Amino acid sequence: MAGGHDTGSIRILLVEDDAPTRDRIGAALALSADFVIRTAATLAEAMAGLDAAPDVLLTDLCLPDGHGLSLIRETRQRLPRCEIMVISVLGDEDSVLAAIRVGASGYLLKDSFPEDVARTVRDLVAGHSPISASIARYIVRQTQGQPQGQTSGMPHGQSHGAATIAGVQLTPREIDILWGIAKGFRYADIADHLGISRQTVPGHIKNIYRKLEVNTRGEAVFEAIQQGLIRL
Amino acid sequence: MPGARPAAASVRIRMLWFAVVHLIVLALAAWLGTSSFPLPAETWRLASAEFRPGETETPTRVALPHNWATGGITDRGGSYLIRLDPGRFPLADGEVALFVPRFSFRLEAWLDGRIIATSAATPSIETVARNTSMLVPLHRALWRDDGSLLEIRLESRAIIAGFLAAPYVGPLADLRPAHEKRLLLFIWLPVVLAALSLAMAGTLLVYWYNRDGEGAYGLMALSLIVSAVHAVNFLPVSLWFHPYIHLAAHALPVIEAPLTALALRLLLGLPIGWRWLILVPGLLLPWTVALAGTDVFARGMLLVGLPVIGLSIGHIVWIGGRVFARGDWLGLFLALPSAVTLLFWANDLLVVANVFDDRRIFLTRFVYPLFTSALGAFMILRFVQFLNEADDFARTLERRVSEAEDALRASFMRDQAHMQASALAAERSRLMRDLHDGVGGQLVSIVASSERVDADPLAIGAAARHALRDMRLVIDAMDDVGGDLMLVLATWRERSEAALRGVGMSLRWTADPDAGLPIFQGLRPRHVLNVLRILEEALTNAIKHSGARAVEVCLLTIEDAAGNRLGRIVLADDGQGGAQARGSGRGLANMTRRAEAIGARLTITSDAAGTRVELDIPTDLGGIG
Repeated sequence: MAGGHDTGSIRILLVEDDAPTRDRIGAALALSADFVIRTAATLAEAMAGLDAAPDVLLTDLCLPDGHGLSLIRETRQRLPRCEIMVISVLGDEDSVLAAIRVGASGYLLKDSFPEDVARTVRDLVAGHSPISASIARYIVRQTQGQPQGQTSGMPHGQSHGAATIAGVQLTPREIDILWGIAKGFRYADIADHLGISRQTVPGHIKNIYRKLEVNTRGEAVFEAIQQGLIRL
Repeated sequence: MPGARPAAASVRIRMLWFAVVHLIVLALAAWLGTSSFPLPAETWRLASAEFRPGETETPTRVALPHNWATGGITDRGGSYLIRLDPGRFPLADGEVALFVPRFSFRLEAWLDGRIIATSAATPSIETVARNTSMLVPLHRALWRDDGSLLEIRLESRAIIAGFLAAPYVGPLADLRPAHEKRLLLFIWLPVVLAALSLAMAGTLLVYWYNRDGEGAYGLMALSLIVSAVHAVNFLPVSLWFHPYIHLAAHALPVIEAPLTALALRLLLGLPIGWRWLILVPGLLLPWTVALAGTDVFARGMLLVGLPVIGLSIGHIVWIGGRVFARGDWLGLFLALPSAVTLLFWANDLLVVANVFDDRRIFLTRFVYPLFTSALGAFMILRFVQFLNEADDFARTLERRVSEAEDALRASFMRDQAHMQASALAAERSRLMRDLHDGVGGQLVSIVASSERVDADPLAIGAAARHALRDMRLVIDAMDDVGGDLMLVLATWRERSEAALRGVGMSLRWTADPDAGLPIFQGLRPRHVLNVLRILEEALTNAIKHSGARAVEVCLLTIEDAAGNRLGRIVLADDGQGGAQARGSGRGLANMTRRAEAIGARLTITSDAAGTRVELDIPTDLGGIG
């Protein structure tokens, strides 16, 4: 999926205004020899950093000179093959989903262990879209608008029809998968339960991310305003 | 009618008013009833006549008016002879006429041996109670120059004694006005009032038809119709299908008056019971005309019919008094016309009994349509009164409802504001407690550690990490998961996995896809936070003290001995056990305290095979903690 494999190295642009955090994550990434890391502390620096066509963008959302969402959008437009991930203190669903809708694939907690940082980036480059239980639940909640937790165990078959929100249509299967993740089941369990191949689960998640993503710049802003993700 | 019974004193005062008003009105009515009805000038009055009763040949001079009953005349017929002296009657110019203001019951006028008029030609004017007068033109061509002999032949009938008021002979122009005024008063006015009764009957019928349970309106309408039909009785006999029917129709008031009284009782909610028997005479009397003859009918009318009418009207006076006593002025509407009618009824009884020598005016018949119309009006007014009361009630209700709504809205807003304020305050104090128990204390500890001379960065880092984890627990616990603890635990699992990975341990997470944990009713953030902190403590113990390499978390639903469903969370490690022995008593005591706070049961077993923490949580947490 991602570019840069031919050279054997993965170019990473890390954007974080807090120096210790930036250094910490940078150090964690540097543990992998094949990662080429470039860091930026501001939106302007980050925009300039895009010229180097990174394979992976890790960015904070709150930057001193602008919002990380515009960086993600810009990256998505200029470098469609670039994998993007938000780094966040809490992984709060509103801002993470806003990032997903402009092209990010999940988030990384800022205090993650060094091994986890590297592994997450590697998974990302390998085509996996990481998704947390809380984000999965948030997406289901936003698209279905139904109170969750009415059944115990993993839901199956109750997701009739396609759910829509702001033009996003998820299939019943996709919603079942998100439910499984929200409840903490492993991909394997979910796949077994739904009677699908285990390998297809990450693909479904990727699909969900793609569906959530809005296409044009204007549309993205409109969506974000509509969902209260950007406050004017 | 107001339901509340007024105080006795106010009732007495009101009844005093009632009596005074009645006395005044009755006095007025008596004055009106006894005052003379329209008559021509005295000049033309014939004060006496030669009277020849029956077949007697010798006439005697009698004064007019002449009442056969008081005069001792028992014959069924008689003749009054009056010589019309041309000297007395200046008949030279204009038409001349004979005017008989009052007679009963059949009159024939003869002039010089030739009949010139008979009341039998229009039998309807022979109806005694009509007070009919008769105007007979005496054409000039009939007169003899030396004076003519006018003969008035009179027939009596049954109980109605013969009666002749003083007749008048004079210019037609002088006599006609009195006759016309009497026609208007005794014939046309009652007909107009009968029409009014019919109109009211129509209105009442509409009420009766359109409203359930208002039988009184129907009865009253029927009564008004009967009254109107009786009034139509004045019409020529030919309009009645049979003379019998015409005669029998005289008994209609005997039905009508009790019917009215019963209708009023019904309307005012007074019991009827046996009183309907008062209708019986009225129903029987008409048949006596055909079956027993006119005399029996007349006697029946006199002896039974009239008392029934009087009783009924008297009863209506009483009902009116009752209504008035309860504070409803409409009672006067009922009582006054009835009282006047009763007074006139008494007059008529006396007339029939020939108590009056010279008076033969029947008043009941005259005021009766007025009386029924007044009762009809009473019913209609009462209906309108009810409508107004209903409107008032509706308006009051509307106002009260709107006031109540306003008050409720204000109270609701107040309550809501209060609830929001107290919820916010409760939330703040809960958050403070949560932060105090975790992050707060840890941050203070970090500050203290960092200020030590031999500050250990690793220890500070570990403490800070711990504080961060605890803050996340607090945030997770606040999420609304609708009773599904698994949704919160899924997030905890991700972090625990990372934490274990960080120290080279692994987490095995087992949850049955079909069962897992049950839905917890009444699951609140405080319950969630207690569960998370218990698990966090257990996990910390496993990492720090057990020496284990793997931790397993199991989520399942079980049933206890009593058959209650419980959610069970098991956290087991493969360490060396000895959790109790380690003296980390404070941690374990904390876990137990937290489990008790949410009504859960905590079981910790620790041996060489590892430590196993079992937390059994009831499915209904409402009211716990």
